[in-house]
Amino acid sequence: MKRWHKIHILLLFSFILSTSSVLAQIGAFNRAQKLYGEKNTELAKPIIDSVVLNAETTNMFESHTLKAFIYYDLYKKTEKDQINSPLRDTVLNAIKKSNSLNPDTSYKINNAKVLNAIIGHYRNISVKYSKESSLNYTLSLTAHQKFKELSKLYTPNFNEKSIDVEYYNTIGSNYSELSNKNSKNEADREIAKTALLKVLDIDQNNESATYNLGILYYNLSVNIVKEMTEDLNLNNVDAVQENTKKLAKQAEQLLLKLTNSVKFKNRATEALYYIYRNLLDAQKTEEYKKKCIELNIKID
Amino acid sequence: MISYRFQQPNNYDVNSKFKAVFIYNFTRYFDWPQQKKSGNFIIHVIGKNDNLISELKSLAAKKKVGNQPIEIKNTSIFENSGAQIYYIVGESSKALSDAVSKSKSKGGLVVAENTGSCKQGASINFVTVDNKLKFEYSKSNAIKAGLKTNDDFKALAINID
Repeated sequence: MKRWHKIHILLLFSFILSTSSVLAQIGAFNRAQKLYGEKNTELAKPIIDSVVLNAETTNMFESHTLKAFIYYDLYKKTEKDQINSPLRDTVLNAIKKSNSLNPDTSYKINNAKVLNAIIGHYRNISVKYSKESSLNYTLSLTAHQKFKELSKLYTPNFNEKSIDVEYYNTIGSNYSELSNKNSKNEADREIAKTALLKVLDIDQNNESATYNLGILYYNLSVNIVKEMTEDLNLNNVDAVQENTKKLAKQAEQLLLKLTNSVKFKNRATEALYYIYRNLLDAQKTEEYKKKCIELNIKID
Repeated sequence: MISYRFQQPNNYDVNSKFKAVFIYNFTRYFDWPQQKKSGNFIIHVIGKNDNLISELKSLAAKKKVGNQPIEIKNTSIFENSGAQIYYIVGESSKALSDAVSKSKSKGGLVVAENTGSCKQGASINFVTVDNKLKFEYSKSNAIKAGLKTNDDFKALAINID
């Protein structure tokens, strides 16, 4: 009897201890939530860190979602525009953990909101760096890959091909513009060319890429002549002519595919007029001049 | 959706630049009479070609022929300007025959851009071969115009004589 009494006392004591530990952690969770609500995320951070590590609360999806929100707030303030962000990684891990604990609908929705915001940030970073020099292209590409990785996991019906077509068309367009300012800017031009060829690999009939690649070749054929020095001897002038002719012919082949395109007919017709003029093809120049007039395209 | 732009084709006339570079190169292969070696080196364009004029003016701003500054003249019909080079735009056979006759023995290099121009007295005539700009050359016409010629030039041209 005495022995049973001791056991009861021990059980009661451990129950009180465990209850008080749970209550302590719930209290910590509530404190972190209150601080987060007051936008005091710096103070909330160490509290939620201890909550998610504690055995009593580590399996509460609420703790991990709150951690995600607290870290997201800190991330937004300091690391939003960075490719590598430890705070962002923590947010993503916390959401992953919360989702693995079978959260209720409202928590699922909140987790998705944070995820979508981060996916959007990756998208913004990839676009921002795509407008700068070739030095930042790798950053843009890394952000694009991260954007795709997350989207594949969390976006229903995510269409990778269509996203890639859009992204590489943007890269092709932006870097064409950069390279067009200087024919010696080979790095930017190569990025533009590779990006547009990648679009055509995915979708060989993509009109935007066909057009921009055609114009890339054509404008390069013009720029190398524009930048040619007057001191060039006659043999070298012939080499420049050969080069410019080759590029103009490459452009011609691409742009001819667009002469019946609803979207690109006018642009392609205008470009072909200039191509044939530069190729000294009098008959085709005249033919495309007439087409430009018919289509109300202003040419010089 | 990301929006992207479509590039515009450059409307730059490459063949006017090529012609200007050719014309400047021609000055290295001919020796003009003594009286034409002082003052401005005049390139006189007869006819309308704004792109060519613009290229030649840009060239004249940067380069000289020997010590002579380059001057670009442009008229719609032939005028005897005492130019070192007369360039006949297009198909004007009147301008060509005027330039040939008036510059005979006086050191005027007549350059044209129309089929058969060397047969009509031009020393040099631009032609299109395989989508590229080439030039025909008549050494005898250059000699008749009072110019000393350099035989290296023949190797670069389509020779008519």
